[in-house]
Amino acid sequence: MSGALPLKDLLRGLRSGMTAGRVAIDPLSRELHGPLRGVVDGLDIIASRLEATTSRLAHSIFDEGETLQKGHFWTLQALATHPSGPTVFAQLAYGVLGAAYKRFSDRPVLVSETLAAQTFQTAMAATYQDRTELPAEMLLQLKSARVIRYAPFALPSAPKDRSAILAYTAFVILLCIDRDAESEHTDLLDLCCDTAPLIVRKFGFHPDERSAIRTAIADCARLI
Amino acid sequence: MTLPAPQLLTAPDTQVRRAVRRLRWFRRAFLEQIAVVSEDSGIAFDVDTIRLAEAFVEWSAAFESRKPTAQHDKRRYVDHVSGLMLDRLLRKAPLSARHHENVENPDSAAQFWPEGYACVVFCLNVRAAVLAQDFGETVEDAPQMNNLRDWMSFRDSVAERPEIAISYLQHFAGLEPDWQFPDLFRTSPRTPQPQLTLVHPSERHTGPAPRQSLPADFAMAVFDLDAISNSRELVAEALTHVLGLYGYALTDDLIDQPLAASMTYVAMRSGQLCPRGFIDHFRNAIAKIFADQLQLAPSARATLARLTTQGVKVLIAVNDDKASGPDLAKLLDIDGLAELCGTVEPEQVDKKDKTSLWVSTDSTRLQSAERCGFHALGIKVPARRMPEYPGETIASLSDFPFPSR
Repeated sequence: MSGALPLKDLLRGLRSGMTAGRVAIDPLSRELHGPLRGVVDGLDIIASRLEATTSRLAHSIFDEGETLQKGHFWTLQALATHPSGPTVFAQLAYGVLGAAYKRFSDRPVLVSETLAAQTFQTAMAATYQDRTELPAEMLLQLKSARVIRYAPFALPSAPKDRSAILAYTAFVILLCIDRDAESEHTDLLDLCCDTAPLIVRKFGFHPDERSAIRTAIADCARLI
Repeated sequence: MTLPAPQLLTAPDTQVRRAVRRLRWFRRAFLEQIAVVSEDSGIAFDVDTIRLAEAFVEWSAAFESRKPTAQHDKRRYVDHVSGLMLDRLLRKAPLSARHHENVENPDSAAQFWPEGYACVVFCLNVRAAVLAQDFGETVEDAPQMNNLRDWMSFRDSVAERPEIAISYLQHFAGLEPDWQFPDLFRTSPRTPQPQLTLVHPSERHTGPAPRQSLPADFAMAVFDLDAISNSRELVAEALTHVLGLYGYALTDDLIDQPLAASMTYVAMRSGQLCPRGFIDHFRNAIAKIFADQLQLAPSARATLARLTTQGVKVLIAVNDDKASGPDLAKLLDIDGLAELCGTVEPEQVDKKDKTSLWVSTDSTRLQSAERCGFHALGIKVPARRMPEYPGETIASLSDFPFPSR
């Protein structure tokens, strides 16, 4: 796992906190007068500078390289054999889980790349004897680690946050589907988000449902 | 009536039969179809893509579970699965017409029921594309689409019996649908597949061991229904159909189990404790399938007749609760040859101290009969996943050991 991941999470958290802080004090800065107004303006300036700095820093270390290259598709199978599997998985999780969550909820969230990479490693270790179990294991681990966090302070999402569970499910399905000529005209993540409720409605995501979840994910991926 | 079709459905480089089985193409084609209908009718639609995906997934499961194996059934199956597609679309209702009030005097099907019309047009266009590409048939129009009275009864009927959509799609396409059992896809009548292997005279004495233990003077013979007819195969067909309604495929394990096992199977997977209507669906299906296809196995009639002539009392035991219900004696036309004795186990049959014989293809049942004092005779069924009966066995009814009188 790349050592930059915790730093990325930290910077994203700071940036998100700064943005939230600026939004919070905005009405005050308009309504207050006199010395108090000066204090609030000062806070706003500090927040703006910090936000700008963290954004710059974050961009400078966020090497998304081949991960998000246009036209390059990752599957769980490919990630499982890639030397940088956990880091690539984490970068994908950051982009995909954030977008998928937006399909189901307006709540602002942060996706922890550190937790995503750890999840990948845990799921890999748990399925080293049988990689066909990887998708179901990955889904259970993503849910259990609560990789999606609530902005601005990256608090763990609620264990039963349905939107988060739907997003994890859509993400895992996306990593299991094959690509063809039709994929170029299709937002595959959108299709995965459409089918995720079929799985989420059916299961309580207990570990003993692993085998049934595996089949359900495979069925969805095959049909997409 | 010529139907408005999107370009995607008429693209020559896409094999629609294959493409329509993937959600990525199905959704794109559906959305393009809705855009075309919208432009044509002036009615705007909202599409719930999650419901659309649900409809697609359910349709796919139904498609798979009923897919016929015989080549000559495939053309008719296109008509059936197009109707199934309409059925699932109307059940999941992914479409809603925007700002559309019920029109007092509609002058078109699109005005009368925009959502139903759009779904029908889509299914008919998919059907037409598959027929053109795979069967060389040109379907230029839908002859029954303009009759508003049909549309009124269509909408009312679907509200009461959603599966009737399958029949209506065929009606709109100008076919003669099955209004009674819309969701039943019947394979074409075929040459009966003998459950009992025909043995040529020259082979007769090379197979089973010579008879040793059977008495030469038995006075009663009980035949399991499966041993003298194609009932097991038909029960499997009915189960396949009914499980398909719930989106599941038949497994070998369920065929020889009581009907309750199939219900439990559905319940455990669907979370529905008692799948509503399961038994009704099954009874309807088995009645229909038996009425069309139940028949005696080769040599069965001659065997029953000869035994009766020899003064042997012949009973036919319905060995599976799934086969009980239809009037089997009438369907098999065995009046005077044998008596039916309902769903029975060997211990339920009163032998009246007569030397009696039990004939079956099921080794467990034969062993049970032996425990009840019957002499047991097995009939070999090739390719059946069942332990072979270790006792006396014949290859077919042609080898039946008639009593010496």
